[in-house]
Amino acid sequence: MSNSEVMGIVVRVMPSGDELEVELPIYSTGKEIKEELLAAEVAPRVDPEGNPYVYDLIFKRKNVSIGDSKTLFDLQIQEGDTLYLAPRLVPGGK
Amino acid sequence: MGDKPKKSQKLKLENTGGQKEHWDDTFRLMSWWDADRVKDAKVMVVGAGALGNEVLKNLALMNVGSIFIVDFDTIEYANLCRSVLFRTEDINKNRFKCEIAGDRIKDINPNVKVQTINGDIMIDVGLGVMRRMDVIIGCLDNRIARLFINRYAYKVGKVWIDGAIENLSGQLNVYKNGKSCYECALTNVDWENIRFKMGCADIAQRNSTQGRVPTTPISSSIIAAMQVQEAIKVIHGNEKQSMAGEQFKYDGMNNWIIQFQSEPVREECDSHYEIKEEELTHAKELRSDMKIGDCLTWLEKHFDDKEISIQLNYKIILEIASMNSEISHDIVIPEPHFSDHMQTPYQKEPGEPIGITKYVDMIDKDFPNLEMTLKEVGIPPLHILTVETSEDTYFVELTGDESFLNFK
Ligand SMILES: [Zn+2]
Repeated sequence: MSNSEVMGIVVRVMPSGDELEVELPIYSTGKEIKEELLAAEVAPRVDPEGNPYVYDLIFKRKNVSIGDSKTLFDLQIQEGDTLYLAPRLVPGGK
Repeated sequence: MGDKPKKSQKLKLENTGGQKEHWDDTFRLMSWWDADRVKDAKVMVVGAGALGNEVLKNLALMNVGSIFIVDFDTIEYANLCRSVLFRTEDINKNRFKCEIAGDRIKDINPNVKVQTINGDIMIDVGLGVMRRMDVIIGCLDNRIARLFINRYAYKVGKVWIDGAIENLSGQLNVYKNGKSCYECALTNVDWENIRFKMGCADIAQRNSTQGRVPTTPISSSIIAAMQVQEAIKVIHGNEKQSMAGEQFKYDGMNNWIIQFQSEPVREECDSHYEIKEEELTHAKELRSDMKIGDCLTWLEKHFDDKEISIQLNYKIILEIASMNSEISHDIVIPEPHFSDHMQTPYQKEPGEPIGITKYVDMIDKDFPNLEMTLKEVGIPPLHILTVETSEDTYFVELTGDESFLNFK
């Protein structure tokens, strides 16, 4: 397989509920995918108080988060698989 | 049941309001339910906000025997919409969230015993208190408090169950030594936020949100219920079905639920040190209300070493200066207690910045005031001191404070 190979992945964004169909290179890392999604403004980088959101990219079929350095290939993610982009929540409701 | 108590056995009477049943009779129908374990359990709840209210309510309903509540805040009107234990008349009372929450859960279930600390988990709760808990539940608003609970819980080998909510979403993490670790999962972005917030003098600024992130009693009820569910498993010693090492996220708006593995624990992490029972000195002679000088003398004798120091994970401020008027003052105040309010008397003009010009992060015989008590310099009752001698590092519990843990 070459670096240029891409596959179609579904990304569900929490909590907006948006469902996106994206083409991703199979050797793209979790960090690269998250960065690209955030650059495309699919989810906010900060909460309403200006504190940063940190996101997990979760591969539900295998119940794992794609680590920053792992690639889609590493996790054997396939065409049509669904990933969740979910913020790590901080508030506990003062 | 039905056996006559032995002579040496203490009778434990349950308040049944004149009824002949047990509070938890319906739970006893569940084959796995161990009524005694639950009744004897000690659970610490850190944070008595939206999540904390729901967690406390559930712990009381489940008949958990002893509940230790830590919170620093008072009740505001804005809290009422997601705090099942608070009432309109609680606003502007000279009482703290932890105290009122404690009273209310005793109203719900008079069998429950409660102890409260109005303070900051970072400095005001002794490690020996945490060591005596079965499980710790975090109902927090910020990364700093989570980081400190994680480090403390790791040290004393306790599972801690973290919840968080936003809007109609929520998440749950169960941290257990060797399986998962809050600090291991922190990113550079998290650390930047932690360092920024650590710079805030005031406990409220360090620990609280400004109320602009929406939270609901719905997500609070769901996540808190799951936190207590996990706590009950820990109390029963049920490791097999525990969520330790896993995370749970749900999004109520979209009905999405995900459970996935926690980040792997790292080799190098400041949280990773568990004090083994054999490493711990139970010093019945030491208490937090004793003079620093007396404590150092005891440690010198005990370790037969003149080079004794008590290591701190915070600074004790020894000198401050008003930055514009350049007037310096000698003080002795633990930095986490040096709030905005305490700075005011040292400002020549309102709002003048105050700088720390001298501090220590350990206590030895050169400490400027050996007559002060350990408590006055920020060491809480039943704390476990980290003591350095010329040879090694030791852990010494202020076991003389054992009566401090007193659930009522
Ligand atoms: Zn760690």
